[in-house]
Amino acid sequence: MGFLTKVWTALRGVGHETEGIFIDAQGIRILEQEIRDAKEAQIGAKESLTDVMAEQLKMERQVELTRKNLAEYDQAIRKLLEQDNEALATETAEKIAEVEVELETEEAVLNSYNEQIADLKVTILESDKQVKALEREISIVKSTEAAQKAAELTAKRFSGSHSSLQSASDSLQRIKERQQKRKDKMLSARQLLKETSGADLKDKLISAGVIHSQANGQSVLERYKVAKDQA
Amino acid sequence: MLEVLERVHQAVNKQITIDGTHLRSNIDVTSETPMLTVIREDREEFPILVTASIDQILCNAVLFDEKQIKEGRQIEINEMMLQLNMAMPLSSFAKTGQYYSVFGALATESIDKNILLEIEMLSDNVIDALEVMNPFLI
Repeated sequence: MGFLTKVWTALRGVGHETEGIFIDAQGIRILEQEIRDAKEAQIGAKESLTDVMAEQLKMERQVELTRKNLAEYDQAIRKLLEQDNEALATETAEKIAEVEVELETEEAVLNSYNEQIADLKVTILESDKQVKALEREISIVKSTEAAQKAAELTAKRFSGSHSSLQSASDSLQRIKERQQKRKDKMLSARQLLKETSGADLKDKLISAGVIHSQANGQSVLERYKVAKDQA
Repeated sequence: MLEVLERVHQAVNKQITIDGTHLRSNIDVTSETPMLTVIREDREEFPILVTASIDQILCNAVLFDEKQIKEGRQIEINEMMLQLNMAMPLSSFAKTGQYYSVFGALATESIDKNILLEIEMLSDNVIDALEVMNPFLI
């Protein structure tokens, strides 16, 4: 089951009756049990891997030995045939046939050990991933649950002595008023600064047409043009 | 996960936002899962609660209880949240139990600058969201 499916199941199971417990302690215990199971499976797989690897090594040595035997018989039979020792050669040939069957069996067993080792390694890797995924899930569930509990606490803290929760609408209104007050305060502070620096008088004089507004590029250019014509 | 929260606390506490208001935060270690509360001085009604897990830092601000939605308007408000979700910068809408909230998730490795940005943006999103949803609220 996917993580979200698990969470959703837990939510539907407990969500409404208990009014918002995200996942109950039972849910976390189940996840923790899953981790323990996965870890145990991993330990089991690791133990099997050591056993199989030991067997594989033993079998590898056995196969090597059998091959060496076979090589020896092979040399022997060639020599015997050179010496025309038909009787002993026949006996050796029978031995070779026997050892060849033995070798074939041993190689088959060795192959199966190699396959088992590959399988066990995959299992260990997968259970390792599973343990990590489960640990992540628990961690997320716990922090989400904490966020939920915190939400309830906050709701209670701001609900005052009444049982009904403070409305978000009212809070928003209050925050906006506070913001407006701040803005007004800043505006009047700026106004004060302007007045004390004499900028306010200048503004009044400009609007009364007594003095001209600040020089701009155009007016400076005009001034120079006039000066040039006069020169 | 306490050390992650301490880092968030360092990044956020006593910082001043773009519009000149102060943030303050404090860590509550009394509960089973430690939690950080961040409050913007002019929006103390909507504290941001920060928790940490292995992978992520979760910042959550409760908007309202579902009981505060006007009779018969809940489906509209749910639809609105889904429609607006992608347009909301850095945060998303969520519902846990009966509480609607705005939250943001960060990687635990996030740098201080990004943590602060997340928190400031989340706080702005709370106000923005309440404004657009106000007609549906009691």
